[in-house]
Amino acid sequence: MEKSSDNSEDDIFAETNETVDVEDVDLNSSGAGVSTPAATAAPAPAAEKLEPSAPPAAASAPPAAASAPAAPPASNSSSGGPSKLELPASLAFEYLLTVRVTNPEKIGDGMGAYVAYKVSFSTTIPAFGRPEGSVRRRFSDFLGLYEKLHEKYLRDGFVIPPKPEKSVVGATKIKMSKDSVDEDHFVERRRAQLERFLVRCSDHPVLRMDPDFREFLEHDGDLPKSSGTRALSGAGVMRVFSSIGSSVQRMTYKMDETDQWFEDKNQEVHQLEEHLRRLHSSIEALVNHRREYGCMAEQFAGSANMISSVEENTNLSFAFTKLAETEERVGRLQIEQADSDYYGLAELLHDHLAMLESVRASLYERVRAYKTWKDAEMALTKKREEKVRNELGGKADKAAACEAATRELEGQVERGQEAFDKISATVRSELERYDLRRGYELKTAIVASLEHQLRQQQCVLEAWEAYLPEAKRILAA
Amino acid sequence: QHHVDLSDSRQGRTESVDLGNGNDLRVEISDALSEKERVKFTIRTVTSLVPRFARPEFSVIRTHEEFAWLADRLAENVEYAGCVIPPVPPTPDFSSSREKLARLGEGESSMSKEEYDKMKSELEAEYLATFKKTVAMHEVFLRRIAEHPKLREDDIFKVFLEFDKDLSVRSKNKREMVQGFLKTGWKTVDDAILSTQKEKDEFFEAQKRFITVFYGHLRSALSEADRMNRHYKATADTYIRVSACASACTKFERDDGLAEFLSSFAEFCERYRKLEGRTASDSDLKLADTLHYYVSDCNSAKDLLYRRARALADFESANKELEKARAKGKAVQKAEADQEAAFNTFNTISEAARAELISFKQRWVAYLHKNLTELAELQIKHSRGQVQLLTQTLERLRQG
Repeated sequence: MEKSSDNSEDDIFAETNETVDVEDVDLNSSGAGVSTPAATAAPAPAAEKLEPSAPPAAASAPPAAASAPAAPPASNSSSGGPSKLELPASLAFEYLLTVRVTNPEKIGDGMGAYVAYKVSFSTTIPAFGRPEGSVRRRFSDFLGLYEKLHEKYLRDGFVIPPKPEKSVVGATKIKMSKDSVDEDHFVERRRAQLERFLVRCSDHPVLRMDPDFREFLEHDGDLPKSSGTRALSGAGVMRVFSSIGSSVQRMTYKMDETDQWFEDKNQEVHQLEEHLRRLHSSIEALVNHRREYGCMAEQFAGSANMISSVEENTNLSFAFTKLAETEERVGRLQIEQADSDYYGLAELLHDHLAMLESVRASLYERVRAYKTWKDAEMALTKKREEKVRNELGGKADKAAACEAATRELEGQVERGQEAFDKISATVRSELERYDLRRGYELKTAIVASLEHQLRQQQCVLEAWEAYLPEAKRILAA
Repeated sequence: QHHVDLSDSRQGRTESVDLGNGNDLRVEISDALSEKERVKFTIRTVTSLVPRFARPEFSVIRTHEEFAWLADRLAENVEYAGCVIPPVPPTPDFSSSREKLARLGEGESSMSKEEYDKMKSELEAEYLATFKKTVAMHEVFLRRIAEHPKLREDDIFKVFLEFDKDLSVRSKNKREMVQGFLKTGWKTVDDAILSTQKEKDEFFEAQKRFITVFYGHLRSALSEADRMNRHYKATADTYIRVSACASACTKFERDDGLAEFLSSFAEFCERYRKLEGRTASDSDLKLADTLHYYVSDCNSAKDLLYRRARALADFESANKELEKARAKGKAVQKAEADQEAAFNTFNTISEAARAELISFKQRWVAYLHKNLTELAELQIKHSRGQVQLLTQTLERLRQG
């Protein structure tokens, strides 16, 4: 059974789970053990909302990249299916697992009300009880799953997908278009985040096999209320303290880095974060301006219609009506694109910034393992010295006690080094895997965004082409 | 200081549609110089009306204040009471460009040199575009006067075109400013007259109704068009940032494939924003500017209706005076003379106004036709370019 308390000093070999042996999963593979290069596809979510008028725009241009980061850019309803970006072979699995989060539904009224999401999966993994199924889960269930995975796997150096945010609304400054409801936007953001979280777990070689994860997907009926998410639970309080402790520790312990790869990596992570942040903020600015532009175009259309209604010259009046139609159409297209880029690009970058936190956490776990090992070494040295002092001082029984303690410490040092080597290997392969993944997700998202833009722009072109004859007709008899 | 070469930009300028006074008097702005606080326009006249003008070809340099002075002189001339006086061109205003440039300077330290350079050259292009626009507006103003059968004969206009020394037009002193305000005060009174006056003539009744309602809608359309274009331009400009960020990411990416991908993406952003920028500025030029001008012109038409309304009011009060005089039996002759004069004034204005308003409408139908058609054509052209760029980029990105 898993240890639930966070005791880093003793028993480094505490089993994290019963059923999966980490060695079996080939983390350092570059294609080994993969029979089919199938991408784990989680296609674009059908835009099912609480209200039909909620953003992003519905079926015509689903925000393909808003869903699973592993999703190939082809969306279900797109015309002229684009070719998929190839998933790097080392990221692919022999067995498929697809997960989706859909159908947010408000349950109950008043204070106790919450939103339930439909979580569905389909898989060829033998360990699962059945090839497909769906359950209803609420936000706290997701958080609970995250806490469990975090606890089990972080200390071995795994990069855990970022925790779904509790407060989604205040996170970034978004100016919404005038007819979109904030609540719908919030729900869609959350739904997309939850889906990305599950997809990332399902794409992780170790996490996808975790029994808690499986239970989350398979177990019909409610999950036990996860105690970890309530603010004042005992375990919760402990967790808060321990996490505070570790961030302080992070700052004070300086590791003697002998591995150049890790030396470089630390630098890289720092730079990457800075650049991702800038990219994210520039994309957000782009999205906001485009959305404003779209809204203004729609407003202008209203005025143009007013002009048309007053204009006496029939041809001119008609031309203004048509102009209004055109600008309204263009405005709508721009808003759709802004929304698509928001969910597909801006949110993705936001995710990756959170991922970098996880990456940092993993790197830190390695540093902790190092510290443990080195502390044991120091203790061993001291013990040896003590033993020699006792021997010289003629205290034979104390010397004997020291001898026993020394044996014990020697064992600890050996285990410490092994643990450090093991976690180093894990962290390294996790980070390499994450790099590949980040690259793939980013490329996929950018391609999807451009494809969406292409579709929108073709519609804009059509709109203006339809308008031209109307403008020309102004001077017709 | 900015010297602008206008010879190649003739095509893009707002041109009034010539309704047929031939080419015997052609006026153009051949050069413009932007100094610290003001713009100096070089006006070149080519004419065959030689006895009236001293030479067939000549140039003068004028500032905006002198244009405004000319507009005022024409507007206050009772001879032209029945004409739609071409609206004074807007004061050259580079404040928004200057502000943006200042803001860019402040943010210089937080962006890469590349990004800074690109934004700076974008702002310079904007400045230049504003400059060309103001030149165009001033030129249109002069052209309309030159094409108008009555106004072109005006002596002050002749002086404006020919007199090669400074016109010594000082900007309005305090007294004149106050007079200006009073005039606006009269305008609101005129508004009241316009709305309450009983109008027997159907044509003018319709005109009044149309212009007042229409004007309101036009102005809101205009302000929305402006906001729309501003945001569109901002969207285009933001691509510079995105491009710079993507470029920056390529520098430390270990994965060559990703680095190349991002670099292609950065290049795409740069090219795309140029297209979007052009689309935005064409929309600005063909749509917003047209509406701006329409608003100014409608204002002038409104002024004409005011003047006619005042003349009508004067005539009605002269009528009343005549009745009173007849009732009292005193000074009837004078009253009769006054009434006849008032009637003539009103009639002249009314007849001239009728013709002017009809040709105003014709002019605008033609102008809108031209500009809305050009708007559509340009949007189509740019859209096609964007579609092509997107298609090409997608091919490239998918291969890499």
